[in-house]
Amino acid sequence: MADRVTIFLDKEWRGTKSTTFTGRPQGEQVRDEKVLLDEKDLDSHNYEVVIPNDTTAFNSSFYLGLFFPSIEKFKTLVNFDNKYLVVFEDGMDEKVKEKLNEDIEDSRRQAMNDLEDLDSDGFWS
Amino acid sequence: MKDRIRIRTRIEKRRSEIETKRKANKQDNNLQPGISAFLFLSRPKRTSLQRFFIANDFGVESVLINIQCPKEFSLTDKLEPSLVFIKKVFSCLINSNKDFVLDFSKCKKIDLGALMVLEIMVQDYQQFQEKFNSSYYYKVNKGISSKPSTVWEVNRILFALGFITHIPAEKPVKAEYLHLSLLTTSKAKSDVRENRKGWICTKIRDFVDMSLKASNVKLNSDSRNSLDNLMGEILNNAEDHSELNNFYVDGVSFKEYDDEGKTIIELNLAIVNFGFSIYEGLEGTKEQNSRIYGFLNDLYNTHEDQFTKRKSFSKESLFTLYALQEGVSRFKFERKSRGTGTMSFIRAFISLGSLGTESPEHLSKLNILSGKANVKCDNVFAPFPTGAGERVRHRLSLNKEKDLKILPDQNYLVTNESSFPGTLLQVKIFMSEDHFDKVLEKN
Repeated sequence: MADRVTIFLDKEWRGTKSTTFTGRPQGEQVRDEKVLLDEKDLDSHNYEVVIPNDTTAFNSSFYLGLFFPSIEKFKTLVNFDNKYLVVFEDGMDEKVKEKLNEDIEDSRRQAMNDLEDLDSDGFWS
Repeated sequence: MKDRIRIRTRIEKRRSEIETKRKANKQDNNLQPGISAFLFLSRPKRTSLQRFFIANDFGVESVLINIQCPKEFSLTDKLEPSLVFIKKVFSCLINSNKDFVLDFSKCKKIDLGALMVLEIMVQDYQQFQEKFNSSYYYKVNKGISSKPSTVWEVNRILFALGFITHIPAEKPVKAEYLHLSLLTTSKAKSDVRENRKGWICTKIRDFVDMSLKASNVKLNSDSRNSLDNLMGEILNNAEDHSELNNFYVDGVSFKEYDDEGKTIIELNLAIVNFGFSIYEGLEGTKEQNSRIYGFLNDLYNTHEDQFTKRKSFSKESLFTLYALQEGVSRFKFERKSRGTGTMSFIRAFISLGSLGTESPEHLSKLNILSGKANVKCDNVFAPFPTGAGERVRHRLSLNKEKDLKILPDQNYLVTNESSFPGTLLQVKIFMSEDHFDKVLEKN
């Protein structure tokens, strides 16, 4: 844990007067232009990604825009978690943390659904 | 000599062209007497929304002074007459500089979505008029007024959205309402910091919070998070489908009282984007998105085998229903994980409005109108989970069997004759203090 490098998600990346990280294009933009995760995926460091205080929601569209290409590269969530750990800024309200964790879990569920190589029957079942 | 003949021919040709142009202009001017300067000057300056509507066959109706609103003004329940009314209004906005009246006197039922489309058109025109007047000596000042309905509930929403300035006194009670106001954004913003979606989510959340306060309920961090998430997802979808790179949101809530005097909140929310329909979006990317499109086609074949003379559906309406299912997206080929937003929204709003399961007069309604397809969802046919653990997917089958491979109920999936040029998502839910506590505990 101690040797993880910190990536701080800037409050400004929530957009104008917003408390929510939302939008797939916005997540992709942060990935590609702000935190350069494609490069980080390949380096030898492990990272902790910090969600700032006053965040009220962490939308799955933003999460997947930001992290899905990495999850796809690392193939399993365990491998992905070894590389990137999402944490909260100190002092965040416990209840809010709990909800944000639920957002993240839901996003991960969706990511795993999409990594499955299903046929038509499997997809609709 | 030959040169002279050539020059004369050229001159005659030019004269003929000028004459044809003159005649065309005259004909145009005859159509809208007294407005030639306005039309000539304004044409190249039309807003993108006006150009979009013109391209979609709006603006060809004759210009009227008094435009009669249909008995039921609802895009989700009575699309055809409602669209005709909207088209007439648009014609009056762009083809004439005369004042006109929106006549709601025969209107008995109205919903937010339809009224919001009018609101968007009028606001867009007013901005256009303002810009025009600041640029030209010729001034346009079109007066748009409204004649109220005889039905109190219709007047209440007309008043809330500013279409009428007072409610004719028929009831001893005053209208108690909150209006979100028309919100819009543009995805043309290049930097993540300039994005306004999150801000709009916050505005909507605050609006719901204020609406609930009337029944002594305050959103806690759980429900604030849920609402932010939902609105974020649905606005992302609306933006993705817009040809004009934006979407519009409006909401209005009314405070009512049940027989025991307890407060009931009626919350209405509508989100609209103009552009291609959900079905058109899927068709437009079927080559790139062949895997998912193939899944949709397989399901369509399963459904088609069940068609009878009495029960069948258009491909457009079934594909629209399929598109709402988790994991389906027309962008699946771009970055793999997409297609969950609308289902999350439906799940949450049906859950928030679950008062309708206990009291039929307070049934929640969620409609998705896209092109010719109209998906209706309520407390009876709500989304349900399939699979287990991390593999859960949420499905909306619109049938009592809760089986996506069985045909939906015809009352819940409808194909209209006319096509709405975009997608409208409209929600009406009822909430009470007692009930909302239960919802919060449950979720």
